[in-house]
Amino acid sequence: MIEVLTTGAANSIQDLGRNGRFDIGVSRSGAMDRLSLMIGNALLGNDLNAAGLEIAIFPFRLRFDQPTRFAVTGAEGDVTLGGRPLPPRWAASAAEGETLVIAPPEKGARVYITFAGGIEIEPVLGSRATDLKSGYGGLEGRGLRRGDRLTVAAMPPMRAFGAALDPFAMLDFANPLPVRAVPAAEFSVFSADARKLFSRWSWRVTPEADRMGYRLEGPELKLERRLELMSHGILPGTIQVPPSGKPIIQLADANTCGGYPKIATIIEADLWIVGQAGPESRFLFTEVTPDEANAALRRQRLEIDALARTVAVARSLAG
Amino acid sequence: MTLDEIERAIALAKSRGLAELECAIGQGGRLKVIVNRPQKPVQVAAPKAVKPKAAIRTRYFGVFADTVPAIRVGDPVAEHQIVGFLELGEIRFAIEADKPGRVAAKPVRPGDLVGYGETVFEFE
Repeated sequence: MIEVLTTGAANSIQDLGRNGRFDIGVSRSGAMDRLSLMIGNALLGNDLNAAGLEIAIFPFRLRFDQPTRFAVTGAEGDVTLGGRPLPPRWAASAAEGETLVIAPPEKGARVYITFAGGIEIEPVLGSRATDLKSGYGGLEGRGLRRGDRLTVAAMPPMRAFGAALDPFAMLDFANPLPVRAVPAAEFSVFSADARKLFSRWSWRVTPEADRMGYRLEGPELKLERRLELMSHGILPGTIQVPPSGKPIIQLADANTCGGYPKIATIIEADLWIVGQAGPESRFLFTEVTPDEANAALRRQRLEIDALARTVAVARSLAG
Repeated sequence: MTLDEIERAIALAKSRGLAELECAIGQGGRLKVIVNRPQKPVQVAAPKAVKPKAAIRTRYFGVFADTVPAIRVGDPVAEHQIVGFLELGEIRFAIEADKPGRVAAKPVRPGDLVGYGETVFEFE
């Protein structure tokens, strides 16, 4: 068991989410930075979809009531186990009674804590992810509270190691973050100015940014002509433009349908960057083709698979 | 007896610092190699007054990577502090200081391939 000592209600249990139920209005949920959750699971030899903790409110503290293997990935900052600092993207063993402390990160917005074997909790609709908006999944459909106790596997200690794969190396949070997007169905209905501005403006993330979506600040994106749309399906990454002309990125806990025109969709391979960008971050969108989007996702999965394979070899050599 | 065998015997005598080497070779043959070179007397190193420098040596091989921020010459290092990493493909292991000290030299640079037992930090 582990016990949560300090937390905020926006911290929650997440896996890779619920897929295939959009038709009945079930949002995907799952980690906002799926890449970091997968790296954390790969480091422990877990199924990449194993449930871990998504930490967005800091400081976060938990105590291990038994020897446990865990990994900390995602946003980078001060992380200590029993007072000893841990490097970024690191898998280590905790002794019984030790406390893990995650301070507010210096780089990124969300930290992931994964455990060997995952968090043992009953899946809801095929996933252990917490849907904070609808209130199901994870731990009673809610965020973590002080005193929550979660079941994880007891494991003998292992030699600590980390991932060489460093997605954060390419991100400079002081500058606009490059995010690739595919033009969406109504792209051509936006004015020529709006289409140009979309990929030239450095869009600022407003404080209205949570697991449902981010509102962006920038110039008004106008339509070429009035448009009446029927409600239609939307996905995490869809960028809608409501009548205000200010774009909204729909994210993990977003509704599954909406009626605003869509200018573009952020590619799956770059959604983790959005998940790591807090308010005041800026995005610079680059238009790519669906083929480029698929290729980028394949490359990312190959890197994670390579990490998982190396971990498997290292574990077999270490006995 | 071949030329190759004679050359190997000469090389062996030289490498061991021998003046003369005699060995059995082939069927009942004997070979005597006399190295016609004055042999330097082997210097038995007298223990010097210089005390050996403490150093952090690697326990694996791999590609060296710095911590963030990097440990530089002049930095104090605490016992068990992680001072760098060795990357092996997709994973990395920590290089830890086994005792406290102050860094006097750092003979490796990020990206260098380092072997087992190589010195990566020297202490004052």
